[in-house]
Amino acid sequence: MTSIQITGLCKIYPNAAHPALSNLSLNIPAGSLTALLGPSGCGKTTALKIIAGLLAPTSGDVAFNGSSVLGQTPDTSGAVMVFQNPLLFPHMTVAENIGFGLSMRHLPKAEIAARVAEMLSLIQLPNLGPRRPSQLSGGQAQRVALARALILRPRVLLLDEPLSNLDATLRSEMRDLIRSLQRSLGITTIFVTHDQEEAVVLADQIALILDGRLLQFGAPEAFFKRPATQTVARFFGANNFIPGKCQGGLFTSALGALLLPPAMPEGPATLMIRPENIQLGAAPTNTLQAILISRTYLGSQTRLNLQVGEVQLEASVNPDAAATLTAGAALPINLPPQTLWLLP
Amino acid sequence: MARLRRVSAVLLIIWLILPLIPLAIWSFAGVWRYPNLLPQIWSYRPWSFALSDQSGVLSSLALTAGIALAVTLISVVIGVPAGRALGLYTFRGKALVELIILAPIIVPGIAVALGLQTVFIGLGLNNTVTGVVLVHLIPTLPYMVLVMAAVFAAYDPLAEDQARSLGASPAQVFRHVTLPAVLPGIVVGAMFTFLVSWGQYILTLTIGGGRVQTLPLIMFQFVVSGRNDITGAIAMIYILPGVLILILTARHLTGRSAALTGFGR
Repeated sequence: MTSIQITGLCKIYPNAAHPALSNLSLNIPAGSLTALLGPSGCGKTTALKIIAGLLAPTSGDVAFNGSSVLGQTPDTSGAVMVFQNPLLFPHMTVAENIGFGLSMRHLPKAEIAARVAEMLSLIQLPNLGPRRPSQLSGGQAQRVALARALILRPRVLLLDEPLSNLDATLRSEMRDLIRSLQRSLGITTIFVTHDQEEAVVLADQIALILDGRLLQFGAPEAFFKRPATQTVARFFGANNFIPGKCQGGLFTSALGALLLPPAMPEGPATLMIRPENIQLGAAPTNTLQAILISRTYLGSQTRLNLQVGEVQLEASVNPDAAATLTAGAALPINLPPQTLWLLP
Repeated sequence: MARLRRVSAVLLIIWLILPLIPLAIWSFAGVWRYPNLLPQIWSYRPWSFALSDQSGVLSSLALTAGIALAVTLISVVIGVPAGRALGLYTFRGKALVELIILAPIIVPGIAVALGLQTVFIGLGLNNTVTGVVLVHLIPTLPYMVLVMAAVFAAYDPLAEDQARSLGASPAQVFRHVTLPAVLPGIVVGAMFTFLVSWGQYILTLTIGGGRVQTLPLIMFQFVVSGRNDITGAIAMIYILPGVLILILTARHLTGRSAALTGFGR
């Protein structure tokens, strides 16, 4: 299995106002599934192409198991990239497409045929070998594109927006397929996505990239519970930020004094309260008196706009618990200390 | 669908073959006077004259084919990269470049040729085969570039990156990915180019100065001197490439084919 070390990766395109990628460093454990997450145009595809050996960085290094792969061609580095569009070669059959990389390496025809058959059954399309790409559905084409990469037994698999061209049901099927293949084959995999939910569901760790810069790298849970900055917190759906000051385990702000989880840094800070962590009802600690301004039913949850003194808070609660509330009602809420988090 | 295709095939034959029948009959006419519907005396003499060294038709055939092939080759070499640039990329001044490429189709060829003549005299290109080849590029190159630009507009260059990532060398990418996608377009453009060059009269006459005797020039001499029989025989030879190309491509032009598209997205 192959671990990936990316250090100080920069890419500046000629005539571009901003670097596409600036100083990206990541240590990716062997056999893991990593998401490069960010809005389109943030530099994540550039990073993928550099790791794939299709693009030279302006500076920095990419190493597999500690040895640099910069300047190596894709067939020697062992990294294979699968693009957002399936890009099947239209003049070849499905089987020829899947066997493309092996026939470029001049393997014996019989071995190629055997491995293609194995791949076709792995992606659950055992009978489609003789078909033309134009006869495939979008989901089938995407799976063939994946098989075309996996047949090479890559050390590193790079997927660019693997699910973005699929509709909702195909998307979850493809997601499960990627996850199970990645687990069973143990291929260190990096995929690029703009979809926060996709990254959370699929990845072992997420690298959040904005404007070519790495904002945070870690397990999905950390982005919800321990975001590094307000930008990261907002990207992951946090929406209540209250400026104040931390002193002796208490946070003093327009909401009064709130008890914090242990070991929070002292000094001026911003308190993050995630909407789903605001509880209805009173509790021994951190209880506040709120007035309900408005209520929006969203199906699986209900969104409440609350006024606490001068401060507006947005809460997301169980629809049944909020069913009888009316606008203007005064209600107690509490903020469990262990759910609070301080941002710089 | 099948019936429609059969009807269109019949129409095509009427369209192309019927006008040629009088010329074909003339090429075997010994004596054919008005108002007879067919020649009074049949003869193979027009053909034996046309194929003799005296008429110069055979050497002219080789010259015409040589010029057309050279023009085609140069058009492909220039047209494919130019079409790729215009089809795939946007850049400053692209509209201007497109206009300049189209201009030779818009401006009448004879006007250009007369202007070029003085330039070519200065360069010593007048009355030379090289000069004729160069001047034939004026009407042919725009077609080649336009066809290739259309082919590349439908082509996703990421397919090349994908092939590289799957371990293909640059040469293999060209051989197995780029070429199969654009070859049908190159073939269509090359055939166009060949036929347009093959059919040039005015440009050849102006720049070749009568020294470069291509087939249409020879044929026109017999037209002017009223020798319909010899004209008929030469015309039969002259239309050969067009007929051959039509036969070779009929399947591609009428059937479901990727002849004019690259990779569908």
